[in-house]
Amino acid sequence: MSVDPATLAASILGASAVRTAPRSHPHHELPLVAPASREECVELVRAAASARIGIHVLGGGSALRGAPTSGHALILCTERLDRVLAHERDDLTFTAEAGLRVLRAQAGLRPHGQRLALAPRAEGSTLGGTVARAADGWTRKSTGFVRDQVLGIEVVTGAGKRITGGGRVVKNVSGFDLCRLFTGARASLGILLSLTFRLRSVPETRRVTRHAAADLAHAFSAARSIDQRIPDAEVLRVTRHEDGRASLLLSLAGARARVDAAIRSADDALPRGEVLAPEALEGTHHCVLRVDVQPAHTERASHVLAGLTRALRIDADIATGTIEAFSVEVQPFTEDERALLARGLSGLEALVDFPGDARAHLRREAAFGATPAEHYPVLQRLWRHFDPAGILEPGVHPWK
Amino acid sequence: MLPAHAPEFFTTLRTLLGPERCITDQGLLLPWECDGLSHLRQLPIAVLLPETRAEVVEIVRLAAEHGIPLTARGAGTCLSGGATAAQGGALIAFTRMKRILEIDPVNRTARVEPGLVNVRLSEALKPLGLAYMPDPSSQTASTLGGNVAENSGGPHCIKHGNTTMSVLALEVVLADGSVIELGHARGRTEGPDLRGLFVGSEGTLGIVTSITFRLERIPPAELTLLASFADMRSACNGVSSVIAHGILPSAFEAIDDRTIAALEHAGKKSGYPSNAAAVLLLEFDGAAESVRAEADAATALLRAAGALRIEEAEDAAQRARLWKGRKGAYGAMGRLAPDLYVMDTVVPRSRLPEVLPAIGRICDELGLPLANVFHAGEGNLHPNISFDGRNPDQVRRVLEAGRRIVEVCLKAGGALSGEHGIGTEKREFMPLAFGPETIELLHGLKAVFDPGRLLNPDKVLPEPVTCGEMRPAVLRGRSA
Repeated sequence: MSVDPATLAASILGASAVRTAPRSHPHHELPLVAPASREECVELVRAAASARIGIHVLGGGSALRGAPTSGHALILCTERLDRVLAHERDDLTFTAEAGLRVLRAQAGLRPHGQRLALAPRAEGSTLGGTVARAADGWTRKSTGFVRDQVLGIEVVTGAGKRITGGGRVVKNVSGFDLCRLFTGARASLGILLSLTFRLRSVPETRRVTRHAAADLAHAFSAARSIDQRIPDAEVLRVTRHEDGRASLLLSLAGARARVDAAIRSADDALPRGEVLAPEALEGTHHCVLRVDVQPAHTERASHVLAGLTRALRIDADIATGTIEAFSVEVQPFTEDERALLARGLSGLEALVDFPGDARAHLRREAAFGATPAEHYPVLQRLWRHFDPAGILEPGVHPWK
Repeated sequence: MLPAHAPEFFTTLRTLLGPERCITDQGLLLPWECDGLSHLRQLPIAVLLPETRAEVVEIVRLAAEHGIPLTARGAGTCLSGGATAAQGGALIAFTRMKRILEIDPVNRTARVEPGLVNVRLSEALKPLGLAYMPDPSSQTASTLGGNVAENSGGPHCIKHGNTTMSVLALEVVLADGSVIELGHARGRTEGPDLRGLFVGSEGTLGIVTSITFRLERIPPAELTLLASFADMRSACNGVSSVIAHGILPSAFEAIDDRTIAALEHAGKKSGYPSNAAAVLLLEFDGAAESVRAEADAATALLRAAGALRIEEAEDAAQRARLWKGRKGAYGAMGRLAPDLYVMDTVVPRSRLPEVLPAIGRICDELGLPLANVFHAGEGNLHPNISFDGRNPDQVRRVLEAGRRIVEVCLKAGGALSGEHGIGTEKREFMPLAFGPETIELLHGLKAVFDPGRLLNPDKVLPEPVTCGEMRPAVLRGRSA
């Protein structure tokens, strides 16, 4: 006889830890449970594996995915796993539970002149969610991928095994690199319980400016010029605004002498810019479309996105090849829009993600850089090893 | 003469590769019996020298069919035994697959074959104003495939990262002979990062046949500092102070007085102060103003930590002079005894002042000469022990020192390896760093990719036997 997910969770976590999910969740009909500790989380996963109850993981809820499931599942929310476990100030390392919000972690680190090289997608983005999605943001140009920030992980696998990878030192090549395996795995193999990150120092000074451009092409031309003059710019972002205007956003950070020299160099090449607060680097709208290409294709891919008729703000980074489209409202893309994107991006080897559409990832257009079919057997063997009962994120990963 | 074992395997391979690329003569195999970890030896049954991916595929398929273990090998400079053959196994040596397949200066990527020597890529990139940053000390000999297998580091990895941070994509031959592309030149893919899993897996999950690297622009300015100290503790405090103040040099190395003495003994004029018990070598790269500001700040912190003297080098000739001792250190130590055990462990940077003396005490107690050259900015230690591998008692003491050093480092919150990998050397220590559930999972992970356990078996993961059972086997291997 099958066990009711809510009953099972209540028996382990107590009835008060079980509630209904928010309407925004693609599986909102399922019970939502919030373990108070990593131990409770492990116990819950073990029990769910034994009873073959599916688990969807909810961090900050800023990038939900899913298709209808059997209903024999629950949503595991990491909101109560939010403790700081260690902050080694002199070693520039930070360990915390996966449910800690990135902005809260940053606020705690700021008085020490330190920061995580992470760019949260939303106010509620968590450490675990950011790593599980490999959510690279504006910090990538200067500090690298999310996968390069993670030093250690603690995970409960779908089999209920509590395992560790990496450690708490900045350099570590001991055994297989589980930290990277779990980065971007979106809880398909296991649930992140805690993570250790390398820290960076807060720059001595930072200046963020926005420079108007005649159009998108001129903005890209200016960006390439600045990239040659100031290769160490923290952010160099071309923007096509909702109303069609174009601009260039430039962030210079570091030692004051360097920033002053870079400002002089930028002033020689760009029209006078509007000085912005550093918060301008953070997104304020919903990212509804993300495209990753090789840097040389950034401009062409940006023009494809600009060809969509809906009102979007498009941010493009010529150093990394990342283009993101933001919208005040989240509406799934239509068939015509998807066809336009597929045609325009064809041949660019783009990776396309639709964070605003919970089910879009299950459609495997070749032009959208889907995981190649020849990877499926390997991924399926991996999945069976980590999650033999198949309980983690059912209906989310096309290869599962 | 062909080995008696699996004659069909060798007959087919000789037809495929020709006799000159399928080496089975015992005398010719001797140079291949160990890698840079010279006290662990195992003669391969054959050395195979493919020139194309298709040949690698065929070798792997044949090996799977006949149950022959395969170990991929680059230049054999691995310091953890990872490039030594398994018992009854063959080596695939990539010395003939060393082409640069493509350099894309616009996207700043390069695709190469695994047998390309590290420094050859840098040489090819220099006229384009580009650089491949990971620079293991062996870079004039070690291959990029080997660097990927071990996730190699080097002096400049404190800022630019170990090899994995430069790898965008890998072409891999899996244990069944199928070929898979992991990662992508654009940097991002969806799903679990299999590219990241394979880097550093020491050829145990698959065999890499091409690599796509991310490149960087050659920094516009570089500046090198050499700071000398009256004692290592003050030098370590200087390291902690610089790092804690958020200064990130592109290299941050430490060299102790025994290494300086070895350099003098070897006739290599390092120019390091003779009254120094330790020197720190720092390099900064980037825009000229950043480099100047960081160097000035670091200089002040190092003086406060007790630096006796600080030299600065801004041009290439001056920098080469300051680096001369660091680069010549291993050659100098190699002259002290027939064998040199280059250990590799990591501790949190702030624990260096207590861990280094503890390592010194271990070697003193065991009567072993110790010299330290290490990546101080990352807490990545290289205790170097000179010994005579023909003396079983010395080998026993070296192994004992290795275990005790690992225990001290792990107790301080450290890791087993920072850049040399686990190989054969440290596999028995894995349970000291990871719990039984993790070890079990790692064994299962190996089986996911290599169910027949034919790809570099007996590396990385511990056998389910006690350490006491393994030690005599190690010694037998050396004396055989």
